[in-house]
Amino acid sequence: MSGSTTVTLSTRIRKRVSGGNRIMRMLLHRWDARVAIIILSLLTLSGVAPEALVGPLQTATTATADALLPPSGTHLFGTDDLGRDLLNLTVHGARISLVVGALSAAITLVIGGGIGMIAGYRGGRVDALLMRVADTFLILPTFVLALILAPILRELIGDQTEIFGIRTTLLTIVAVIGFTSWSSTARIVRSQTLSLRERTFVERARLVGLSPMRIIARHIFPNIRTVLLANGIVVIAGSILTESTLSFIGLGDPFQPSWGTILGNAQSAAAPSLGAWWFIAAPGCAILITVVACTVIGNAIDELLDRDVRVRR
Amino acid sequence: MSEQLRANTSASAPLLRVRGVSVTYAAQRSIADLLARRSASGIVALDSVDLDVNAGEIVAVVGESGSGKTTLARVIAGLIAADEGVVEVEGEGPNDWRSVGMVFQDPYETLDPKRTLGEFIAEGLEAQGLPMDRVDTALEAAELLPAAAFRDRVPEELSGGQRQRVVIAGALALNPKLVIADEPVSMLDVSMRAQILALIEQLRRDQGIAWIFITHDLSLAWAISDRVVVLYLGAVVEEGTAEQVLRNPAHPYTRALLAALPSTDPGAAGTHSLAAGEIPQGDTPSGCRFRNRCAHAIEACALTRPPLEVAPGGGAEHRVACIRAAELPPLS
Amino acid sequence: MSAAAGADHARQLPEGADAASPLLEIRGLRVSFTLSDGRRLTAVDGINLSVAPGEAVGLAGESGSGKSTAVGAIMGLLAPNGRIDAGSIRYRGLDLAAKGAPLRRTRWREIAVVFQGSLVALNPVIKVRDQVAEAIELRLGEPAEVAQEKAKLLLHDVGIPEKRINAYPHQLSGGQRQRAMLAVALSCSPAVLIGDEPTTALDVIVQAQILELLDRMRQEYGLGLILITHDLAVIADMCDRVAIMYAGRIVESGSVKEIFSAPRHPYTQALLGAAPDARAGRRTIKVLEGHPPDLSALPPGCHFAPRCPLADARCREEDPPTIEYADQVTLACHRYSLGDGKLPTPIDAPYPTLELGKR
Ligand SMILES: Nc1ncnc2c1ncn2[C@@H]1O[C@H](COP(=O)(O)OP(=O)(O)OP(=O)(O)O)[C@@H](O)[C@H]1O
Ligand SMILES: Nc1ncnc2c1ncn2[C@@H]1O[C@H](COP(=O)(O)OP(=O)(O)OP(=O)(O)O)[C@@H](O)[C@H]1O
Ligand code: SF4
Ligand code: SF4
Ligand SMILES: [Mg+2]
Ligand SMILES: [Mg+2]
Repeated sequence: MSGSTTVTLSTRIRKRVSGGNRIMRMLLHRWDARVAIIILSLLTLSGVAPEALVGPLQTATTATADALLPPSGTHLFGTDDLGRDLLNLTVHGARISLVVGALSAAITLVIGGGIGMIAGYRGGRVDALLMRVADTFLILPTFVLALILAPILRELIGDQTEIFGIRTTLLTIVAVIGFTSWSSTARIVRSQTLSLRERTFVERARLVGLSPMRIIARHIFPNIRTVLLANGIVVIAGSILTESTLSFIGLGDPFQPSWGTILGNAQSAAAPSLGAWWFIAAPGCAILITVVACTVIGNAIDELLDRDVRVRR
Repeated sequence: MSEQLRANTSASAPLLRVRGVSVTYAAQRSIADLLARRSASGIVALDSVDLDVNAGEIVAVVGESGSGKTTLARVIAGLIAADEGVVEVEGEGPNDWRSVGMVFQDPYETLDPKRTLGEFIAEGLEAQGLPMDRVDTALEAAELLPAAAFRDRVPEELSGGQRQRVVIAGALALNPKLVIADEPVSMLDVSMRAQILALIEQLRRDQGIAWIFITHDLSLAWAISDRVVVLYLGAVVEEGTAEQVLRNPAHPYTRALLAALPSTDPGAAGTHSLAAGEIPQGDTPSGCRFRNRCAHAIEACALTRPPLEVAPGGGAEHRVACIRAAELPPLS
Repeated sequence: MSAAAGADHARQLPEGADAASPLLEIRGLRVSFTLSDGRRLTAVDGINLSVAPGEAVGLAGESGSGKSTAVGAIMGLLAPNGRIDAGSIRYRGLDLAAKGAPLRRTRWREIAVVFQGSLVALNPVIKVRDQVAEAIELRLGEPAEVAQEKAKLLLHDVGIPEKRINAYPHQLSGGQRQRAMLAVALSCSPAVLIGDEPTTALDVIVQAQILELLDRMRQEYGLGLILITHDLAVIADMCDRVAIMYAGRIVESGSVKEIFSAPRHPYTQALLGAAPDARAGRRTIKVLEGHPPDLSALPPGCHFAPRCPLADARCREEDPPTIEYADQVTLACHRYSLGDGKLPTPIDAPYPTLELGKR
């Protein structure tokens, strides 16, 4: 029991709003999280409005510069083997990487969160079964699955479908990442749910006759929201990495270059042996910085939650 | 209890009838058990417990930590099933009644931090198809006034005592005939305690609600209850009216509990004579459960389990499970 | 009591301490916390408290009255947002509250604390005997075997059965864990022992056993004991003197005999009357309405005025001064004027009473 018996007269509205704000405020107290938030804001900006920053996406035909120019005043990040400006490519790549990351994280959270909550709340056989399924997905090799899923998805949704401006090939990647990464989220959510299930307020809800689905919706989900948020941000980082790997080996969409695609291009253009380090550095650093920033924020939220729990006990 | 209530209840069957209820918690099998191909022994939390509660009556269940009080509460509320025995409310089994409410020990844990007080109370109403206007009635009955000012608050803004009132309001909204309160005030300050005790008694008087009041504090049991039931290692060792059990205890265990009680009364202080040791964990002794801690134990105590019998020199409701009850020296 | 547990070597006083000075004496201690919105909250507001060797002093009050904060200040364990604004905490004449406080690192050798909820304070993966031995080894610099032997004796002394001393904390019952904590606290043979709600989570029998143990330690070692609790009955059983705290201040203090038989401050009367008593056969309780004030927004005047049945206009404007009477009784209430220094007659504050169990 804390010593506080203070009764403040704030309204529910203020409380609800300050819930999200509170996390933000707490994050802003940490220098590492502050830096990460600034980086991610800049990246999001380039993802939303790349044209405003660097003009339209350059293609082989619209490229104007010489091939493989090292960084200079006119081409801050240098140019690639087709003479495209790497700054232009990297900024445009941000959109693809971020959208793919966010979409796959969403799939991961929905499937992983849903299954984790049901398994944790139901327990017993349902739990055992769902967790075996999760284990199976955990060991599925991502890119074998990508090869299998690509034609199936194309069959299902057609070639021309676009979601948030990304096309079928990339959607395959989104689906693959979503399917392979939900199981670890499910495990985290399940363990949280298991401990929530024993809390008195859940027991009380059972006592007054609330159905399991309602208990999950009303008591379990709101209390793991922040855990999901932390996990989601880390999943975005993982997705960006996986997307880069898949695009690097050529499973991406050449017309929608992501950071992974650029890296793949660098590889096929033999950039390392030509000494064109900037070709690799631009997309490579972008991936690295994004992943580190996401991980920092995810971990920071996690730690804050932890401390929250400790302080309350 | 009013005269009229008393007349009503003594004639008819009790509101709550518990007969021969036993609960054993499965213990985890240890590696040693596995190697020896033993099944895990399990913890006997309740052993053939009988209990009656009449309408409008407050019954205190007392006993040390681990004596099975919470387990009994959970069985009566229908949260866990008994391995043996029956629990009936107004003659109905646990799946059919909706007239048992529960108040838990920790008011900080019973309210979901993410939900408003109004939502907390409404959730039971919704699940049972009762009208939503009962939210305000319940808040008012629990003296959270004005109700409108509390509906939209979140638990964080309330003191422990206020939270416990909200929990009580949540139980009241469902129109219970019986509310089980498991250590409802043990986490509250004395001043808050008095307020909650007053509320419990008032609800009994005004609405005729019966209470099972679980506590390890004999002073609270003394103050609030009509009858007291003493549990030891999952079994009832003494029961009777508050006066009988607490002013004239017949079981050595009840006497030890009473002697261990600190008191602000200068005359009563400083007479600790304690039951040595602690409640055994694991195997219950053969014969009398209490014999390994009992100052009056003799060889005969190891032979048979003493049945619950009318206490010597007491009224018919005063019953005790001790073969030497008649020989014990009177309390000074 | 065996010699091993501690008092074997004559107490060596820390440098600068003076054996002739009082054991522990707190004067005018004020502690405040900075809140996240920048306001300051005074949690302890000018309290005086002292304890002599072999004496037991009780500190009581509702949740949030500042009891644990006072302990934090004594031990130098205040939260980072807290600081001592004024006053002194003298251990044998050494001021622990002064800048560059002496004994900052070694005061637990002289003053030990036992907190409520011992499971969190014990390391779950180390056997209790090893934890006690480790404390002895680290703090007293004893070699490992000697420390193990002392730990064994100490655990025996606090009443943990020999066959349980090699158990891990979670394998012990609540009462046994609390005893183990006591053994850790006593491992340095401190001169003062502070119990901050040491028995709150325990049931009556275990509570009685722990209290009896504390009492024995006090008598045998001449420990100065400060017992913090919100259960006045515990203080009545255990202590020589008592101080009642409300909203950061001590509103009444004196000998247990005096205060409990003739409580004068309305708050003391409320606390004493609020709990029923089975031993005394008392069912009527006093109802103290409302709740303690928000310390970050205190109204002027007596902090207790909003809940006090004796409050008048003056109480709501002026702070009552703390006045010392005969027999070391102090009192902060406008209703009692200084007079000739003799103890004033108690005035019964007309709280609403509640006759429980009235059929
Ligand atoms: N879920 C469980 N699994 C295994 N054993 C349990 C479980 N719950 C309780 N027990 C055991 O059953 C016995 C009775 O426990 P119960 O919680 O009913 O006691 P209690 O009288 O309520 O104690 P307290 O005063 O500490 O709350 C104890 O020995 C306890 O360890
Ligand atoms: N770190 C802190 N920051 C801000 N306020 C604090 C802090 N620690 C304590 N307080 C406040 O100081 C006041 C006194 O708290 P303290 O813990 O000393 O009370 P207590 O008398 O020990 O209460 P309890 O009986 O609940 O343990 C309370 O109002 C509390 O909210
Ligand atoms: S039957 Fe024997 S052991 Fe049991 S309580 Fe009575 S005297 Fe004690
Ligand atoms: S000073 Fe006034 S308000 Fe304060 S306790 Fe005394 S009578 Fe009550
Ligand atoms: Mg219990
Ligand atoms: Mg405290």
